[in-house]
Amino acid sequence: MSLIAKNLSVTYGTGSGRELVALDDINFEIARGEFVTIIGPSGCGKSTLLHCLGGMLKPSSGVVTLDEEPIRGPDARRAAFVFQDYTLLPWRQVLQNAVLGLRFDGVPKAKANAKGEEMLALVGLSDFREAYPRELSGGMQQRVAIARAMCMEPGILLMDEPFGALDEQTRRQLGFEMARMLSERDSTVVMVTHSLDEAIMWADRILVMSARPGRIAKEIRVTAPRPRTHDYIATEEFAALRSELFTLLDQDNVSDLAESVDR
Amino acid sequence: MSAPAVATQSLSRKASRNPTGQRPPRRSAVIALRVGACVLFFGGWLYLQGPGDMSPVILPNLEKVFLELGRFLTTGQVYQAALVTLGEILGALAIAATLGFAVGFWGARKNLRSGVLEPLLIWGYLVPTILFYPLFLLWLGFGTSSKIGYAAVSAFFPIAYNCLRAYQRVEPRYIQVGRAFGASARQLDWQIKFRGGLPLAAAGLKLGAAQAIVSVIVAEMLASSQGLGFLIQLYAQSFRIPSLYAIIVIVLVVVGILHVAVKLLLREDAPVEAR
Ligand SMILES: Nc1ncnc2c1ncn2[C@@H]1O[C@H](COP(=O)(O)OP(=O)(O)OP(=O)(O)O)[C@@H](O)[C@H]1O
Ligand SMILES: [Mg+2]
Repeated sequence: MSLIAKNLSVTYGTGSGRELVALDDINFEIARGEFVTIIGPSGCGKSTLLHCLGGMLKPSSGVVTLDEEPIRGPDARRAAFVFQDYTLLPWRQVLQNAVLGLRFDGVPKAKANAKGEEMLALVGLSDFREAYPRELSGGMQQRVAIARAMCMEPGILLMDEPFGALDEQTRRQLGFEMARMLSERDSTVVMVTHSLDEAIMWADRILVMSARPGRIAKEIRVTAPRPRTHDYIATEEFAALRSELFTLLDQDNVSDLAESVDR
Repeated sequence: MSAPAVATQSLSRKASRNPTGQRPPRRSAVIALRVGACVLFFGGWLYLQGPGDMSPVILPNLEKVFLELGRFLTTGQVYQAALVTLGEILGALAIAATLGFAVGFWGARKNLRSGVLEPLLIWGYLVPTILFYPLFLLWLGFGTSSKIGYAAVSAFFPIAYNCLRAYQRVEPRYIQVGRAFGASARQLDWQIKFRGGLPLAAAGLKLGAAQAIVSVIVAEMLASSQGLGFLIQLYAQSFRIPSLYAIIVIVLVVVGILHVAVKLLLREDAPVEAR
């Protein structure tokens, strides 16, 4: 299996009649079981790219293919999303949110609920199965969204800053849990993140994006075998990668700033 | 952001988050204040009719009002009138809710439709529909159907308008989630859009219910031979002030029951999200 983006471009028409090139000629290939992280400055098109990969957004030009089949629309069994913003349905309890995709798919209630319970346990929210989203903190809601995606046992997991609202501690704990499970299942993962450590820690490959137009500035391969343990953070390889990423993103931010001052 | 330690959270959800920082009031305090208000009300009444020397045409003897009320409640006539009025209100509301919801939901699906419908519905909402009551009398006669027809039209506009608004602006995020997780067109309609717009649509239904109640009673007062509105008008014209007050009390009770019924019907287990 491989997920391929070929000459992918997305142009948004803005209200004022101007056009905004969010993605410009993106090309890459992701192999089965690969864990790819995407990092880049805010507004560079990371979410846009992820939406294209999952069939939620039709690119202005270019194609996304999975095993040579072009992706024409969303399918949560093929690729399930963890969206960036809070997207739990406020009128459904936590468990009912987690099993949303299964229920839409016609999985019987008992079976779906069992699966939902399992995934809630994974994200540490079993006690909250009957709570409503408004009763949860932002990070807890995001964990339910992760459970909702995992319930689908998707071939590809598309995560948009899934740990953004979590504290360092929970983030790491949940990250290790998930990384272990994902590598056991040989899941393919594409994860957008703002955290340098996260980008390196879980990834087989890091796609570094630059802003306006959104391009892939660099691909960095992380060769250490997965799943990795805490010790990896202390290695020289990690430190070298981290400083490389830091420099890349710093340059990009500077050029980004200069551009916005120009206007 | 609070730091939720995985798996060790307790289930205590007692503290309620209130954006204004106010605590919810204590129940005993609420009850005490309500009792106090009643005492003040009836005390004031008794004072005005006694030492206050208020004309009994404006403020009848409290005792007489209660005697009348007792008489009404022990004879059948008033129940029959209340039943007529209640039936008209519920009939009108059922028609208005069905049509209003259908028009709102259908209209919100296409921008063209909502663009055409919205100003019309606002117009219908703002125009005093009482203007058209004489027409309803001509079309549907003096009996209950003219009341139902007229009240249904008045209640239709707030319901349709609010449904239209509700279904125009269902959070795109929720629709996005529905699509991403494989909702069929029908599931998207009912489990996401319908449910997502429900709080605002329910608010419209409450307005519609209020509108239907007022319309039916006013319509009965203007032209009819039965119903609570008719009795109000009858006793007012014949200067039977204590009876008039007693009927008003009964109307208040009927309205209160309707209000509670609507509230129970639209009980929200998950109020509009706070985020
Ligand atoms: N629906 C839309 N219509 C118009 N422009 C859009 C739309 N969605 C995104 N954009 C624009 O496209 C660009 C990329 O947006 P995108 O959400 O993909 O960025 P991002 O990299 O995910 O940013 P962040 O890290 O802040 O989430 C932004 O400049 C944004 O203004
Ligand atoms: Mg984004």
